[in-house]
Parts: sequence; C-alpha cells; structure tokens
Amino acid sequence: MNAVLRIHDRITYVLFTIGVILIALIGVLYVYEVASRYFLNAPTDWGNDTSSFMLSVATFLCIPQLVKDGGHVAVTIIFQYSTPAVALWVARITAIAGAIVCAIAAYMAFEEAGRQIANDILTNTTTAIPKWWVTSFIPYGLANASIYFVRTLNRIPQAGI
Amino acid sequence: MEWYVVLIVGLTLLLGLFLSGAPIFIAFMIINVAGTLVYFGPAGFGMFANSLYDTTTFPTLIAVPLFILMGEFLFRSGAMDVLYDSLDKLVGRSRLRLYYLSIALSTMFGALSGAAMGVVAMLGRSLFPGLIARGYDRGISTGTILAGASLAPIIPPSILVIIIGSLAQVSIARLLIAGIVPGLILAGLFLAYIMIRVKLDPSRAPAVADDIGDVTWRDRGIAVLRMIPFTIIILGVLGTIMAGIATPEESAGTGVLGTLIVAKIYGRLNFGLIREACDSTARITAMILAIMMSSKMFGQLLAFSGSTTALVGFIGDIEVNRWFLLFILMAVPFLLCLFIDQVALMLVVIPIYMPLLQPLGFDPIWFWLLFLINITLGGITPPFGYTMFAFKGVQPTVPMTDIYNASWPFVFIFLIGMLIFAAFPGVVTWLPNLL
Repeated sequence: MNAVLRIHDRITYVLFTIGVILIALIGVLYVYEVASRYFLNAPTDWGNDTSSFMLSVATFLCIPQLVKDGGHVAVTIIFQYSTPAVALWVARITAIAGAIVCAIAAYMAFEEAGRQIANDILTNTTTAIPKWWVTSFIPYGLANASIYFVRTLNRIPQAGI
Repeated sequence: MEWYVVLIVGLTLLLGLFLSGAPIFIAFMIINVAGTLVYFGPAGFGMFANSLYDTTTFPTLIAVPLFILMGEFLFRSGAMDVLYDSLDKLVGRSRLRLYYLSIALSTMFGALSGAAMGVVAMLGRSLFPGLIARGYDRGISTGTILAGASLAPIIPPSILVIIIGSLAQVSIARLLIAGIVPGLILAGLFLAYIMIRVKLDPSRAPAVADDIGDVTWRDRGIAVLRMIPFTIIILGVLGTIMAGIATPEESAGTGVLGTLIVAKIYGRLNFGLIREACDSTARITAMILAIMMSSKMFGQLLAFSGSTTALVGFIGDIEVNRWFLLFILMAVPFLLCLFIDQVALMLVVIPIYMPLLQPLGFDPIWFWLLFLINITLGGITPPFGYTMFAFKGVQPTVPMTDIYNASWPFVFIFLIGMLIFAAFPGVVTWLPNLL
C-alpha cells in the first residue's frame, strides 16, 4: 500500500513541477512578447492566449500538491480556541467534506470536458484551440485533491491538532 | 425561495464553513456544488466547469503569479536587505522609515500595476520579513502593505475605472483623474495613522539607536550607489507602463526580468534560487486562484438566484433622505463586495443605480468615485477580502485572525476618507473639472 501511495505522491509532484515550469514560462513569454513587439516589430498573436491557458493548467496541476502539503488558506480560529478532541473531529469532518465536494466537482468538470470533446468546442480566443485541452486539467486537479483530502484523514491525528 | 432567504442562508453557511477551519476554496466550493445541483442539476455542469475555466484564464490575473515571482526573487536574493540597509543610512533618524517605504512602494506599485493582490503578495514576501526582522510591529506592517496596495484601482491607471465609466456612461478620463487626489489623501491618512499610533505606543516601531550608528556622507553616497540597481525594477514595471511599451500584465513580466538582473548584480542569482522562487510562486498562485475561481462561482450563483438584483432593486425603491439613501447605496455594494467579484457586482449594480443619480442631484463623477473606493475596500475587509488571503498565502505563519486585526484600522481609515469625500465633493471633482 505504501508503495502505491509513494507512486501517487511522485506522480502528483511531477505534475506539480510541470505546473511550476508553466508559471515560469508565463514570465518568459511576456518578456518575449514585449521584446518581439517593440524591438523586432513582430508581435505574436498567440502570446496572451497561451499565457492564459498556461495559468489555468498550472493552477489545476498544483492544487493537489497544496492539499497534500496543507498549503491552502483557512481560518483556523476553531483550532486555536477549542479542545484538541473537538479540533480533531472538526478537522476530520472538513477533510471528508473537502474530499466529497472535490470528487463531485471533478465529476461535473469531467462531464463537461467530455461534452466539449464530443462537440468539438473551441476556445473563444484569438488563437482558438480545442477547449478540452485546457479544461481536462480541471477534473484532474479536483479529483486528485479529493484523494489527498481522504489521505489527510490518516495524517490528522499525527498533526497534533 | 425569497431572495433575502437565499442571501441570508448562503452567507451564513459560508461564514460557518469559514469558521470550521475548512480551506477557503473548499468552503466556497461546497456551496457552489450544492447550489449548482439544487438550481440546475446536471444541466449546470457546463456552467460550473466553464466558470472555473473562465476565472483561471482571465487575462488580468496573469499579473498575479508574475508579481509573486518578483517578490520571491527579491526576498530570496537578499536584494531587499540592500534596500533596507541603504535606507537606514539615508533616513535612519526617522523611526517610521520602513513604514513610509511600505506605504510608498505598495501605493506606487499598486497604482501603476492595478494588481492589488499581486502587489500584496510581492511585498508580503519581500518587504514584510525585513520589517519584522527590524522590530516593526507586525499588525501595522501587514496593514500598510494591504492598504497601500488597495489604492490600486483608485489611482490611475485603473481597469475598474474603465469598466465603471463604460457601464455608467460617464467620462472615463474625468473619472480616472478624479481618483488621484482621493488616492493620495488616503495614503496621507495611512501615514498620519501610523504616526499617531507610534506616538501613542512607541513600541510599535524600533528605536533609532537600535539599528543605526554614526553615518558619514561617504556612507550615504555608497548607500545611494547600492540602491541604483533597483531602478532597473522600477523601470521594468513602472517605466514600461508609463512609456506605453507594456500593458500592466506585460510589465509584471519585464519586472521579473528586472529582479533577476538585480539579483545577478548583487551576485546572488543561481539555479537553486530560481527553482525555489518558481516553486513557491506556483504554490501561492494556485492557492489564490483556487479561492478566486470558487468565490466567483459563488457570486454567479447568487446573481442567478436573483438575490443580488433583488437586493439592489429593493434599496433603489426606498424613499428616504438623499444622504441616508447615499449611505444605503454605498453600504449595499460594500457588503456585497465582501464575497462577490467586483466586476460581477458592477454589472448588476451600476445599471440599477444609474437612473437614481439625477433625481437625487448627485454629481456622477463624485458618486462613481465613492462607489469605486467602496468596492475596492472589499478586498481588505474581513472576513472575505481577497488581498488578505494573498497575504496569508505568502506569510503562512501569520494567523488569519492577525491579518484581520491588521486590516480593520485601515478599513476604518478608508471609511473616514469616504466620509471626507462625501462631505466635501470638491475634493473629488475639482481636478476633473479642470479638464
């Protein structure tokens, strides 16, 4: 079981790293866009759209890693002012709620991506591409986040909440 | 279901989920998923997924990761320490110097980039640790960064002004100009507040003797020379916007290049630094965008339920004294902006407010500028303000409650500013009237 979990972590981290690279590429792309427009007099017609797509893809590639590492912002007043036993149960319930809601949201996004593939829907941008190229990362991000919320349940007692 | 029931139940649930300690984006997502299933069933899956797609591909948000990346490079390269040390040499006798620097930088970057969240993330990462290390008060330091950056939409250039001007059919040029004086007055009020606060409680700022010795003119000259590389960043961000070379989003990209050059000049650029900075930026960006996409969806659901329109329409029908009505007209967007996206709110509110202005005898420029300040304030008002979450993202060890406490004084200063601008319309209108 541990080997499976390690492989799961590894895949998540590799995809997260791709997200990191995409974020860095957005910066490179914008500098290139400014330079090509003002110094080479050759503006791109794909730069802005590509950056937007990369931002969306990077977001959903990174979300699961954040859930794994507890990197999402929360209002933690309840953990500061309640007994450890109450805090433990609240943490468990919110993790279960997170797992369920992310799973449902992933299913909804998966259905929509399937519909976009079936209907050949393109993005409404200057450089039109099949929309599912971008939206297919939404179900991945949410489904994997759901799995990590489930896995969080094992870690909560060790976290000393 | 009646609109007010939807509104009350929705907001109470959201607040309860926030207080449960669930990640903010999950709190929104629970209501979004439930709302979509209840209102639309499977027919709403497309709307749900496309709302997430639309938010995460929104072009203006591209400035967010780039500004965070700038902050990461500045922080990790130690370049900010050079800036602090130089300022110590130049204006070391002023105990409040880094508070001044904080407000000046956040106002300047915020105003010219228009990306309040990005600037908060950048300065929260780069400036804030230095302030704390030098003994400055955590609450005031947090507040100055949040408040200064929140002037972004008020001082031109401002995308929100262009949207308001277009929707409300008022001169965009006059509305842009009208924001200059109020923005600077608000920045002045922030400074005045800090001076009073430190005067009343000197422990809020480090004593001069603690961190400065005898400084010669030679030291000052060297300090100025060491600060020169920072002009590359200023030129990269502000210079390219003002020269019309780059859009605010593109200027964030050139600013990243500028910070890399500065880090190289100071001899601190290496692959490890770039890798760590990019890693951290991706985490913070994903965290912020997860909140943004889920909260926007929440606003769309409220709009679909008709609650937002019904509330604004209800206010428009009230017949009371014009000044009391002004208060209500401002209170509604203030409350709605705590949890609804600014642009979405404007699309609903502005068409309903427009016909009310002439019968009430309100100057449109003056009214819409008050409206602009009002909706801007939503970003730093607890518990839902976006920019506070951006700050929390870059400073995870600072408790959310501390960020809330840091915001409140500046929220009240904004409100005092709005009272001044409401009582003395000339403060807002004299500059645009010169056009």
